[in-house]
Amino acid sequence: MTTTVNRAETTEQAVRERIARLEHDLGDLDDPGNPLGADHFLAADGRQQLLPAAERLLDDFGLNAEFVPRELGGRLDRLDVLARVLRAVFRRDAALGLGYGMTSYLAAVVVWADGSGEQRRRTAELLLGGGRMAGAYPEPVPGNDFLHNRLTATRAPGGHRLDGRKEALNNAARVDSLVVFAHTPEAGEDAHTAFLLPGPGAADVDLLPRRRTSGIRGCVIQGLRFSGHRIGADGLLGVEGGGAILAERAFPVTRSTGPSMALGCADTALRTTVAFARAHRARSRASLRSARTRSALVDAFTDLLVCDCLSLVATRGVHLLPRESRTLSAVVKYLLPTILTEMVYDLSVVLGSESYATSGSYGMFQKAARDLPMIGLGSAGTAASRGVIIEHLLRVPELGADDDSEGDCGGLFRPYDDGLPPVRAEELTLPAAGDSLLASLPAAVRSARAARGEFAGALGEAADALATELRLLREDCARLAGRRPAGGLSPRVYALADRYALIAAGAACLGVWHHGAGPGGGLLADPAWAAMALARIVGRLDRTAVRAPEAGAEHLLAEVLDRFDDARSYDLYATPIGR
Amino acid sequence: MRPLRNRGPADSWLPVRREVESSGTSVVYAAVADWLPDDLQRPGLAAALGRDHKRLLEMNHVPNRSRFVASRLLLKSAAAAVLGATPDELELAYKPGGRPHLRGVDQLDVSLSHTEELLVVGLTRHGRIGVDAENADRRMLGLGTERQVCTPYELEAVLAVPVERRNGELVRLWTLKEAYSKAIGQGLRFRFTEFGFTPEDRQVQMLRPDGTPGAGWEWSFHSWLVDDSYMVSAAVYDPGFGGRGPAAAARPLLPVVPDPRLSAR
Repeated sequence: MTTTVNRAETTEQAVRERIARLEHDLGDLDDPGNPLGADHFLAADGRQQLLPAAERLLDDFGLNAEFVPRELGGRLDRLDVLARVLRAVFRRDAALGLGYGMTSYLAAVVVWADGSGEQRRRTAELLLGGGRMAGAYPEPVPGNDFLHNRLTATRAPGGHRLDGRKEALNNAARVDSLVVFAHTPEAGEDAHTAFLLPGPGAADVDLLPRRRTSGIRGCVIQGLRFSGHRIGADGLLGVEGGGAILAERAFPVTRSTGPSMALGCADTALRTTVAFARAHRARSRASLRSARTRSALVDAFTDLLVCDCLSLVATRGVHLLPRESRTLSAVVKYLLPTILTEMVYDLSVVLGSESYATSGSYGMFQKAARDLPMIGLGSAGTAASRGVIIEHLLRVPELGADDDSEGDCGGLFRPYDDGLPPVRAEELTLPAAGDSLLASLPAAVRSARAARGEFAGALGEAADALATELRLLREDCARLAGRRPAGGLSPRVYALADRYALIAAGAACLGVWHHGAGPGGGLLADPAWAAMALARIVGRLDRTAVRAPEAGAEHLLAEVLDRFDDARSYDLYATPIGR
Repeated sequence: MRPLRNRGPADSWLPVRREVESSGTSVVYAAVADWLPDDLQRPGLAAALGRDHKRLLEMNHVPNRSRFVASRLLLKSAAAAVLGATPDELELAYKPGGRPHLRGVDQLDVSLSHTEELLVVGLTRHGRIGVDAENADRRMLGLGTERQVCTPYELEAVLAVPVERRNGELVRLWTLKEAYSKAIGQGLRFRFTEFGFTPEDRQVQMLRPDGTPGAGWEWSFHSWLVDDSYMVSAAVYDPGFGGRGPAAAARPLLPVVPDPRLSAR
């Protein structure tokens, strides 16, 4: 099966049609007659495998073409669109989204970043033909058992020989192609090099036992052991010793798109909770009459909108602000896994005992609660991203303060604007000269203060509180940057990185509102959601700073229920789902 | 694992550090008096408490103030000792639901509980932790509390417990529920009749109200009687990314962040 792609698939209209087709094919999750319904995904999860019917459907849809750049025959030209399309898959099953999708993309992105013409062509062909890939990235510090990578490549006649173990690799047994980063001591003490290899069929590659995971149980995660495996010269990706830079080129892409896709999983958790609340009588504590239930639903929806604004800015940032995308994507990877995981815990109080049900109408909830914590791979998964943010705070401590103009970054905030420039991989590792996202804040705050309507006051107040937090952060960063470099930094930088990430999320929300404002903007132009989102973010920075407007909560609850009745997604796009 | 007693700021943190290194988790307890500064006006307290200092100034009830100050100082000192930092360098912040966390330091999760004169702090490098403490003699039996605390399955199981131990069993269940609920950031919002635990003589597992399994193997639960008078429970979440054994111990919890300005790019 080879997917061919038509030129006209780039426009927003074509994107919507493509997502609608995928949603239609996957069908209604709640329909017991649907072979791709919730019962079947839950049963496959119990059997610890991906649902075969779902894999066949994605084959037919040609999902892999989403990962292949347009110039190589695929459909990939915008990362925000890539994440939107994959959300349809993550709404059904995060294991499928990873096992069928993201795992291949994590590997392919390295080839797109620095592969030779021949490597790119072969990889595109492999993916468009329905093949799978996996990537063994260098282990970050501190790592964990899943990120562990002890591969070493030494020079050998005609190429390299590969030895050592990678402990955990999704789809290890069934991939057709592998991207591995290996330590290459001959190229320098800490030097790493990336290689493109065929799948693990060779006699000198052993599969290690499958690892047990508490979530994404359908993913078959195994280790690989290489014992003198030969790699020819054509297997070298980029230059010998260039692995670290190559990984840095991949990270802005993977860190911004991966967590954004996972929003689909949290979306299903919210929809399942709304269904539960709807099904309960007024006297029940789970019903929509209960204040606890109402605020749980509104808070979760608000968190999803916050996460999506940040995802939008980071994925579009890779195209529009390549130098700044290193930090923007790190903020997504740092913040989203935690916010989404905690959002699901917050919803569990509505479902109560039903939040543990592994089957039945609400079984998808516990699955999402187990799957989401796996997406970020725990604290070791966020550590590298936090390090990137810290680096930014020290290199650019003024954080956009010296640039009050908005520049031309309005395109960051507009979810439906097409025509983004292609990703220029070589620019992704250049140092940022500024902080366009935070530089956009003053204009957005002014606009929030000047807003009209019922929620204008609340929005202005929350925007002011965010601006105050930014001022405090800048002062603390300037103090930190003012100290003479002395090797190690105070652990205080960890908290500064967290505050930066939250403020960036707030700036993303305010930017989306500011640029979506105006007639015909729908929910996004409405100050109510922006006031709620900012109040929630500022509350994470200082819980006494602002209060979310009560009427704003009612407004958002109405939207939550409308989207439930109308089967639309809980993100910026209100995508029709499963019909 | 057993809760470790701490006797105040001058006491050694070595046992706690060793336990976090070897097993990933430690539960520490102390008396309020051990950690209460003589002078709440003393300089340095504002820096030690960070943004919590503003809350302290708004508190009027003296025992509450004492527990508030002492518990935060204990928590920050314990966490700092485990991380190899100073307490002032850590910021204790709160999630929207009120759950405390060390801002920006998700590699060490913390939980806090206090009752009467007892302070309890839980620390884990695995994922999440919740701790709770109650006076083991706190009367719960015969007050109608059972129906608010227990699932139907637990109500039956409690009846099977000899009457002289029945109240203690209720206190154990209560603290386990609080510990779990705090670990997931819900405090008392999660109704205690909607999830339960296995009877006292079995390995503790979470159960649904009908006695079927609830949360999976990634959760573990513990209860201890401390100082012969307090029931202390802990709920620990470990998704299994690995955090045990020599490989994990060799990974620094709080790696020194090199100053990026020193490395030329």
